[in-house]
Amino acid sequence: MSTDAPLPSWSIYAILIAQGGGYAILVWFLGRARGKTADSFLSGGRDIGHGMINASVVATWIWAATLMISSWTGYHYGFIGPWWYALGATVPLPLMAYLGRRIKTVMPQATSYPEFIRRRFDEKNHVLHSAISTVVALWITIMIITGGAIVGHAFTGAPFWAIAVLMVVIFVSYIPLAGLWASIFADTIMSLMLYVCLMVLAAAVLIKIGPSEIFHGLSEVARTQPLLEPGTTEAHHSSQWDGLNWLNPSGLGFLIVNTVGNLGAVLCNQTYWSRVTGARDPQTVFKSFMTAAICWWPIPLATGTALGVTALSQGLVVGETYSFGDAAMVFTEAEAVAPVMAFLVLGFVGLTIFILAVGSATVSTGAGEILAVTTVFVNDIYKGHINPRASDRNLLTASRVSLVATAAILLAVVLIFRHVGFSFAGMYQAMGITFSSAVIPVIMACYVKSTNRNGAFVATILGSVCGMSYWIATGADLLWGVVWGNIIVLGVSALIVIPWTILRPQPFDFDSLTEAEGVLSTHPTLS
Amino acid sequence: MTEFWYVLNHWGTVVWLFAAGLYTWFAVGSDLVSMLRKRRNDTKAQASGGPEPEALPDHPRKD
Repeated sequence: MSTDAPLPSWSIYAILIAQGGGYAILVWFLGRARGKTADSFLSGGRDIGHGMINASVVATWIWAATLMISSWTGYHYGFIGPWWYALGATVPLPLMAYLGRRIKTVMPQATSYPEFIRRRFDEKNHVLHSAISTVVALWITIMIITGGAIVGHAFTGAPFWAIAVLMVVIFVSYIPLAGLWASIFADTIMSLMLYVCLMVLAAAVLIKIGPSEIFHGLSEVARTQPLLEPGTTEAHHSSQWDGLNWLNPSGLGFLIVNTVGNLGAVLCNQTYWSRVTGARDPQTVFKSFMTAAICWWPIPLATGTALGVTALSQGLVVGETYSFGDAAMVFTEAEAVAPVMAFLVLGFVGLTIFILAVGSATVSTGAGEILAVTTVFVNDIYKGHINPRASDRNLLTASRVSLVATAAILLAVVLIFRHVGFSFAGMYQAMGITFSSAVIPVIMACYVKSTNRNGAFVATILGSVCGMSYWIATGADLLWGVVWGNIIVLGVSALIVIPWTILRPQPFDFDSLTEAEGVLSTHPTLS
Repeated sequence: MTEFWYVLNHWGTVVWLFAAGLYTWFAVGSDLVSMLRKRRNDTKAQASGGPEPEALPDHPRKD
């Protein structure tokens, strides 16, 4: 049998179509009333409970990369890799719990975080954060669609473009029915499915191989020092031969990059603020983001340990062909260690479960990100600037048109990037360096009443410029260049906005936000 | 790292995953039950002559 694409191409179509169709039917039955007004379309009705918000945040923060790269860290850095990966990516969620509760308390009618920035700061900061939020969401969606389609193509042989088109069609199949509520509801179902898939894989590794055998395998790798990734550097090999070390130094650098880079991807991303908007009250926001952090952490940790660390302990070599019964599969690259290990443990069932998990992660996050772009466009740009007196019907139409247009543009960009062979290597790190400079100004906007508006604006731009300049000067180095780039971004941003605020404080009354109407009010108060 | 600590680490990750999964299932189930119960009550209220609850604005304004 061919080892190029171990699963038939119809399997990925079946997985995606079943998901899209199922969500569309369920959303139509349970939540179509939420699509009747613009406010409920973009805010989800502001009455969603803890369970759904918690599950939605977990699903939104799980990408295909979470499952693939966490396992790669286990294969690359040993047992500590998944810990560093999970810790770094979890940090933004508790922070969001505090910021989300704060905004939900001081401005309960806010629909987007740029809307809060507009009232809290001024017009220029609003434009800046609207742009940042839009670019972050668009960029993440492009990476998610591309990543999901590459994984689907690699393991089923279905054409890249067909998978990408199908994903985008699914995004716009159920979201227009009920907006944010539909996104959160579908996230919830995907989150439940994801847990089942990963629990099956983790339990299978535990039963079929067992921790003791894995430990002895790691000890053997440390003793014999086999060449597992031919063609890579000596430092790379040393990391793999150090799989039982608590303080693997390369892993520590990864922790810093993951922590700082992810702060921008969450705190400056309307997708997460939409979950704040949709939640019932400030307590629900706080509890949901806190439990989401606790519930999200074990996903990359257990997956990376079960699949990545186990693969290292078994001495899997990149480029080799591995078999399960009569079936065989090539271990093409280190990043694909998770599906290979799933295949070795449970055969095609394991591989199918893994692809199902990846498909769920991709659809849930992608749909949420596209809706976030729509929210910022309709709430902050269309209603905020272009047509402040737009009727509810206009806003609802603008939301649906914007959703479909965003999806179409993204699909075109994804296909063009693929056609010209655009490399995504380092782009996620670049995004972290570019946008994490907004993190400290956003935190200060929420909590420091004397924050200087100009200071926040300049800190966001200069922090980003300094971090990017340094990173480019290092030749876009993906090891310590990224680490220092991230540190510089946060450091410069803090060094500008904090002294500026101390020297030129601009007092602000947070109580003035509480009674303010949202932008989606039919009587605009912003002008 | 000794074998004891590795085994503890591995079991810990799996137990944590199962606990998180079960908690999420329980919390979502609880939410969905509340939602369906509310829908049933709303339908009953509507059938007995009251207004359609979800047709009301999400946040009635004072004006």
